[in-house]
Amino acid sequence: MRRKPGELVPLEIEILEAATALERNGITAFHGYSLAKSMRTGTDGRMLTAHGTLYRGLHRLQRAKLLEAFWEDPAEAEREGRPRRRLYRLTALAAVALNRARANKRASGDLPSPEGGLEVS
Amino acid sequence: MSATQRMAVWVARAWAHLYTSRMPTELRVSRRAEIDSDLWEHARDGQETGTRPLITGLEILWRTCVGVVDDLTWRFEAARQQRDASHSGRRLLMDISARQARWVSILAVATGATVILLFGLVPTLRVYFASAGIPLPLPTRIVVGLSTFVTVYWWASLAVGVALFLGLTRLTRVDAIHGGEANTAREAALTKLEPIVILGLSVVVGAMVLAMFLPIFDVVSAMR
Repeated sequence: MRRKPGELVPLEIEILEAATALERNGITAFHGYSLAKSMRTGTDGRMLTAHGTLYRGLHRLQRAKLLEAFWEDPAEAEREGRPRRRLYRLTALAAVALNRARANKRASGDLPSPEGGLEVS
Repeated sequence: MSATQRMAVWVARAWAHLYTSRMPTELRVSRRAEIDSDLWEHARDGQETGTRPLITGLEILWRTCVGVVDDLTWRFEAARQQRDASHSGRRLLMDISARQARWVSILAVATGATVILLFGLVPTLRVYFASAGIPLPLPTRIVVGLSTFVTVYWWASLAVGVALFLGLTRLTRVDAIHGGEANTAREAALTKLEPIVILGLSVVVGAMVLAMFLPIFDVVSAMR
């Protein structure tokens, strides 16, 4: 199925939702695995998102300028004795795109009305 | 780390090496490093949450196998984007090279015409006019004066010619630093400038030739 230009596919919405949840918890820059874990939270024991699916989605969101990616300081990775992380951060455009995707979902009846729910600001 | 987990990590790494092979260096290195980091974080998270290494290993294997189609799709998409970008860059490079060649040709023709005129035709006609005692009108005297100047100060003329050539090649070359937009802007500016320069040079050379033949026209009209 070919998507309309500018429209987010369910996986991308899920990634942005998870990233927003991380951001709400004070984690503004997150790596792929932390995102996969955040995406699993709230699901009924679902497996972690596959490597290919997750990183392809992140790559697409990055190209759409909804996420920005950067490599962390190598000194920090060395200090903690682990491989260097590629970190992602939500851009201002992401909130707009996510709200629009939610509105579209709501209009199509896939999502309940936002009463009591959180809107991305 | 259990044998299953070690094997799963090895499979995930080997697969990442396989599907990123022969990709542009930046994409290849970045994706491999990102997978390495993910595997490490996954293993550490398994330890921290007390998950059995066998389960962590199976999760890694599952994540690798289920993502195979997306990995391959990502590879083809990235290769296509790279190819498209490289085609448009090459086309622009060829356009600018062709334009640069045209500008060098214009300068070569203008220089050749000026050299023949000022170093060959004008001194010959000046000697002829002097020996025949033909009076020179102002435009002819200006061109004769210019010819005398460039003949005496030939080294200055040569320096100006070299500076013009270097300036022109610098102006028309591909701007690799500022990329496509700067090149496109330069291309548009040169397209506008080209007919103006050709017309200007033609008018100057034509006027000099005409100025040198003015005394002959005067003589012919006086004879009639």
